[in-house]
Amino acid sequence: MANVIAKPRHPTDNWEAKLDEWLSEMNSVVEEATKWAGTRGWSTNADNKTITEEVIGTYAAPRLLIHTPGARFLLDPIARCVVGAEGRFDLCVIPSYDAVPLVKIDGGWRFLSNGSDGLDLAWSEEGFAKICAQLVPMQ
Amino acid sequence: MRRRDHWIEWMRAVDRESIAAAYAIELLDERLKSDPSSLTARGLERRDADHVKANREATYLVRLFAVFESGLREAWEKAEKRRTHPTAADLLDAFAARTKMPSDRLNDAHRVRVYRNSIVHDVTATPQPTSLAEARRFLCRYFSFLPPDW
Repeated sequence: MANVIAKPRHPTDNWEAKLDEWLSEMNSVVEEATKWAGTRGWSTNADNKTITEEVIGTYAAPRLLIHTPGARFLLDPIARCVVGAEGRFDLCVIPSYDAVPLVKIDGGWRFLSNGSDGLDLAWSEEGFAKICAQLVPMQ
Repeated sequence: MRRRDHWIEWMRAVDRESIAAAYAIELLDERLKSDPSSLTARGLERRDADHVKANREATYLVRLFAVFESGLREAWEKAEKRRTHPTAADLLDAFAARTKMPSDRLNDAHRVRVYRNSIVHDVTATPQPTSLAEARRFLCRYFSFLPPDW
């Protein structure tokens, strides 16, 4: 629980376990993205951002800056408590910060596009690469 | 500019207008100190000026929410292709579910909605007050989760 900065204002039952699980989940996503970026020769920088959520508190969440020859991306954690999902990151292109949400639904991570572009892809190396390519023109 | 950004800009414009109004009220205060009867020619009294001052934030908060709700309804019709006319509360919930918005962002927007209702409908229950700056921040944050264009 080293990442906990402040206790929640309105704690949910078992908030510490839920936060622990969420921190571990975020770390896995960031580690996978780091690995997939590395196989493409893209460099990455990881750091932390502070997130406050009413029911699980204030915590340091990992985020990842990805440098590619064509663009820079930020894999940005948004929240654990999300309407209709169990967690959310945004994969943004810099500097416009146009983003495709990456949400955890039914136990798995997937990109949530606007439905008309066929980019509702599962969180996988292939999905990650396709979404990055989709975001490049939007920088 | 994308449609979402237009609406966010219009919300910010309401906030800026309110700041300009606050300055105008300060100037009026100064004028009334030097010329206490300057309102009487317009059929107004000092207390009318006091009401303007006391109600400024609430007045602009109602306007701010009206802009926000208009933007949501436009997105509902154009982005979501819906012809229904849900209540503001249902509309907030619907977009939050569609966009997988953080619960705190939804709760903050509902807080502004409930406070705005208490101003407009003069309900007896007293919700948590929200300053105009806070309301603008909450509603713009909510709106930033909508699709960028429609």
